[in-house]
Parts: sequence; C-alpha cells; structure tokens
Amino acid sequence: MKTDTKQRILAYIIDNKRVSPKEIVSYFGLNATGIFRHLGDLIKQGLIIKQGKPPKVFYLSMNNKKQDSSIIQNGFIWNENRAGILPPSEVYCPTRDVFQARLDHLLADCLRQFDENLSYLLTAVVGEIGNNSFDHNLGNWRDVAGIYFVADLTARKILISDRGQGIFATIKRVRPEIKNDIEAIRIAFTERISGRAPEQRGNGLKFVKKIFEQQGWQLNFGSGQAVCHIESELTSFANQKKEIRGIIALIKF
Amino acid sequence: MKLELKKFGNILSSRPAGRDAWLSAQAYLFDKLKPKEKIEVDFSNVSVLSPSWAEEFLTQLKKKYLEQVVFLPSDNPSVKASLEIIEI
Repeated sequence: MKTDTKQRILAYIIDNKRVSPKEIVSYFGLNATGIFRHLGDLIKQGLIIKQGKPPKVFYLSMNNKKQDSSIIQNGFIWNENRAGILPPSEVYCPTRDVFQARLDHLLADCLRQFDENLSYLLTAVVGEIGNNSFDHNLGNWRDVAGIYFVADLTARKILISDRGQGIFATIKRVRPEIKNDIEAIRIAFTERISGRAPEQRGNGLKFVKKIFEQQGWQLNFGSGQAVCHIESELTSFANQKKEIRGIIALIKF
Repeated sequence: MKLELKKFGNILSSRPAGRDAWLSAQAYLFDKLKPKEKIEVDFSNVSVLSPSWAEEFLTQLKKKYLEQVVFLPSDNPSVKASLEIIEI
C-alpha cells in the first residue's frame, strides 16, 4: 500500500509537472508526514527533484526521457492495486472487439510516424500479446475483465496489462509438474506449448520473442513473480519480489 | 483459385477471427474447388499477419488441402515471420 501511494504521488507530479507540497497533501488527503516521507524516497530514487526554499517549494519530475510517462505508470498502478478498478476509458479494452479497433488505430498512427516494416511488426506483436490475454482469461478474469492498453508513440513505449490468471496458472494446466512463475514464463517464451491444448496453438510468445530479438527492441513481460526481459537481442528470465496480477508487458521499440 | 487474404481484413490478428475466416472460406470459397486445383494464397495488401490467425486459418488450410496449397511470396515482415514460426 505504501508503494502504491508513492507511485500515485509520482504519477501526480509527472501529470502536473510542477507541484507544491500543499497541493499534493490536499489532493491525496493523507497525513502530511507520510507524504513527505514518500517525497523524500522519490528524491533519493532520482525520480523527482525539489526546487525552491520554504515556503515556496515545488516538486518536479526528472527528465521525462528517464522515466515512463504517467499514462504508462498508471498501468503499473492499475495492475498493482489490490482492488480491481476500471481503468480510464481511453486505455481500457473491456472486450477483444475494442482491442481490435484500437489495434487498427495503432497501425494507422504508427504508419504516420514510422516506416511500414516497423509498423507492421509492432502491430503484430502487440496484437499477439493483447489477444493472448483474451484467449486465456475469457470468463476467468480475477476481477476486471479486459486489458489496459496504452501506446505512447512519442516515447516509443507501449504497455499492455491484464488482471487475469497469469502465465503460471495457464501453463500449469498442460504442464502440471511446473512449480513456479519463472518456469512457466520460460516455457511460454521458449517452448511450443499451449495452455489450451489440444487446440492447435502455442506460438504467440515465441513469435514475440523472435521479433524483439530480431529488431533489437526491449520487452519486460512480467507475470506473478517472474519476468522475461528482452534487450539487445538477448532474452533472460528472472524472479522479482513484486507480484504481478495477470501480466504486464512494457514494450520499448 | 487465388485466395486473397485481404478480403478477410487488413490486420489478421486474433484466433477467433482466424477461425471465423476458416469456417467462412470452407462454406463460401472452397465449395466449388475442383479436385487437385491449386489454392494460391495471396498476401497482397495484408498489413499484419500474426501466428494466432495463421494457425487457425493457414495451418487448417494446409492440413486439409496439402499439396494443393501454394503460398505466394510476400515482402511483408509479419507475414514472413508468422509463416516461419508456424512451420507450414
């Protein structure tokens, strides 16, 4: 919960660019001491800076190039929240049809800014990841049905998240011997296997891995307490402390 | 016959869409197919093909019509990558 508040404070500062402590305390309606502790932590982490002297103090977000935009940050916050809440409509795809329509827009927007090959491949991998969420969680979401989907083409980042069953629960149905998230995520990205066997399927994330490696793009794909990281044409798998509900995929291209 | 995939859409992405396309093609396109007639699969003007759609449509097509199926060459990188990964 503490982390949650800290991230919300960070998102608020990024959104508003330059804010006074009074504004922050009033916006969140929380104890001022707690707010200042979070602000101190964010400064130590290099995410914000403090400007001015009392009584004219402001907090600013650091260089935007170094951090994710607030709309991307909010995707993480949405996934981390214990209670499932509906995301804002502009980033929420409650059904596959809505996602498909937004995928059409993504392609059109990409073609205005990038070359055709990049636009086609990017749309293909985003389509695979987003559709995967619907394939495996339809009728079985934890709380909120659908996905959080946002593309920041200026920052060249895309975030997709769902609050579904996650990779471990999906893979365990067909590979009951697996014991943890990291085994599951490794299998999902490297082996031809389907969580919906005996249907003919199981290549989606292998395709994603292949394209990211070929293009030199970056992917952080987390599920449960494991993450698949692709960068500089190399793929690695790691455990992480933070528990991801369903999946979060952060694409940097 | 020439099978123009663009008639199924510009972005061929999801499994349900691929499955639907396969059912539709069987009902309305292949019903008049002559024995041993080639099916030339044309990817022209398809912007995005994903392996999920391809598995539901192209894998089924190849399984049913075997050597009758010919994939016409495509320069689209998502078409090439999807065909490689589904190994047909």
